[in-house]
Amino acid sequence: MTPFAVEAEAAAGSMLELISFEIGGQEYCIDVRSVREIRGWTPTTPMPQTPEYILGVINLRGAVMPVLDLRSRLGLGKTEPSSRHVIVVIQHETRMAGILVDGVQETFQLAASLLQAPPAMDSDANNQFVDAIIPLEGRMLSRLVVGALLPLETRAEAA
Amino acid sequence: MSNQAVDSRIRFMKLDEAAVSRIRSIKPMIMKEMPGALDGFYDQVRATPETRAFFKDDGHIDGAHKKQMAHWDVISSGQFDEHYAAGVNKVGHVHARIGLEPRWYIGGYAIVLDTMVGKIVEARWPKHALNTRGVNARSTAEELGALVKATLLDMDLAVSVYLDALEEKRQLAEAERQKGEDAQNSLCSALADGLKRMASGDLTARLEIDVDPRFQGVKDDFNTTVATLAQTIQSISGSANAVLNGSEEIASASDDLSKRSEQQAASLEQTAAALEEITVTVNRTASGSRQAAEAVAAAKADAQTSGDVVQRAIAAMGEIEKSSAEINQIIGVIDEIAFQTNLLALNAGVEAARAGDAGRGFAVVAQEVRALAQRSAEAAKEIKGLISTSGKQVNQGVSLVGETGASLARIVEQVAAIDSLVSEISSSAQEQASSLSQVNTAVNQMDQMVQQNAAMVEQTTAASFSLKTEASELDGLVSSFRTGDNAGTRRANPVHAAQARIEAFARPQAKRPAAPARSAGNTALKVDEWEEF
Repeated sequence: MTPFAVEAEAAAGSMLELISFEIGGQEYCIDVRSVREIRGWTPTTPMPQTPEYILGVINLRGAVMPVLDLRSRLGLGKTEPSSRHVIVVIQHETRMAGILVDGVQETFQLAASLLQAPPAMDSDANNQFVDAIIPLEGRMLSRLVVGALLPLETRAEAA
Repeated sequence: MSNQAVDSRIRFMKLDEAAVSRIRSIKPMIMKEMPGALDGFYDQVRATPETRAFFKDDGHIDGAHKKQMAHWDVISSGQFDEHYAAGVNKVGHVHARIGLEPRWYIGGYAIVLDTMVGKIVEARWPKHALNTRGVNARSTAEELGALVKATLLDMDLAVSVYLDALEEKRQLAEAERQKGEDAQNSLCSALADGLKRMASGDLTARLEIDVDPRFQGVKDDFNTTVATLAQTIQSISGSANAVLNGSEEIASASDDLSKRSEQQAASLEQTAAALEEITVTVNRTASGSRQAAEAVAAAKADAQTSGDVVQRAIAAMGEIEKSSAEINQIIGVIDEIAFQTNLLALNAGVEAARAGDAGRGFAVVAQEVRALAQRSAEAAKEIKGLISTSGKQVNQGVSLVGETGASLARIVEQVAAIDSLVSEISSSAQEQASSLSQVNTAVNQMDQMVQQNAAMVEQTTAASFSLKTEASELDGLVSSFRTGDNAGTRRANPVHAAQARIEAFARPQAKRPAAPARSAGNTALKVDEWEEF
């Protein structure tokens, strides 16, 4: 079983608690339980020999945590961070990381039945970031796979 | 002396044939003694100065001597014929011509007869008692008587011829005198007639009669005088006519001149009036331009004050901008707080979600807080937008005010330019006013002069009319003389000649097409009329 399936099963028949955010006018959402904290932009300390989407590390109450540029991670270009940008601290299993988004919108509950599987679009399974699409009135939210967002090395190291 | 006259004398003297034969008988004795007798006579002639004066010299006396001898030869021959008459005639005429008076002639005969009587008596006086050859006292007396008769006859004839010659001469002189008197009378009557005609004004009178050469001078002088007088009168007539014509021309010209002078005077008065109006207008312009200069100076001051106001406005705008920036900063702080609040509310929401059902109330509160934070952020955003708009407007205002300032500066410059222009206008107007017053003075002087001219022209007109009258009178007087040569010789009018010259001079100008009637004001004067002057 894939982690996606586990999560979907866990939520089956119940209401999903989601948090939405935005990058370049595009809305995304993740399960609110994978969010540890939401904080304003803090300048990062760049780390050598890291992928382009890794902005560096920050000190989060004594713990060093990597920060990712979600836009870059999703292949949508680079973000020029400002004080209005927001770092969403996410936790997947034991690993924590901050993802940089343009802005956090809201937390909301949604019936799991509204989720729709994304259409096949010839994308790499390993790099499959969107596991569901939520069409709402006038907008469309993509639910991101938190575990896929994290850096591979970090995942490997953690594994 | 005719032959009959001699014959009648011979008959009266009874100098008949016997007496003639007696003379012939003593002819040899006469011719023998005659030279001596004549010598005695001529000696007496020489001795007497009165008679001596009749002869030039002794040659002349000798010539006379010879002629006497020839004459006595004729007398002693007793040939008292026409030959003798002609000789006696000649002698008498010569004596009359040379003025030899009878006393000398008779004296001469006396001397000759004295000698001849003496010689004859001497010859016939009986030398012997015997009276031979029949010579006696009676025959001698007869001889002497014949001789005396012949001598007296000769003497009578010569004296008669002399007297006849004298009478003839007297008659000749009388005829001559009569002729002279007649000539004088005819001359006098002709002269009287001529003078009468002259007195009646006829200067064609001439003395046509033939006159004595003595009076030829008088006739010539009279004719010359009359001719000269006629010529003079002709000349005077021509001159009088010319003067008449000229005076008519002058009269009409001065009449025209008078009218034109009046027109000129009227025009000048109008000109003067118009000039005064212009002067008033110019003075008004001058005062108006002075007022304009004052107004411009006030505008200049106002514009400069406005410039200061603009500077203050710009400064005020700057203050507004500064305040806006401060407000913006504060709004930023508020916005930041709202942002952080939002984040806190989100975190609260997240925590509430994690807590599940237990966190439901908390989630609601968090939601409310988030809503407040968002409203706060939106308000801050609106304020920020307003401030930004306000800042833009302030900037716009600043630039507008700056433009206003620049415009005001330009206005100040232009007002200064206007000021100088207006002051120039003012000074020009003042100059114009003073120039106009000079023009006015000149026009007034001209007006006076024209008035004087008009008066003078009127005097001239009157004078020319009286001159015309006088000339007409003179012409009438002169034309009462008949000079035999009338209008033909009247002299050409010099005025007409002068006019012809002036017209010839002026014609090219009149022919010029581009000579429109330059009618300044209302003095519309024809060009032709002027050309007469």
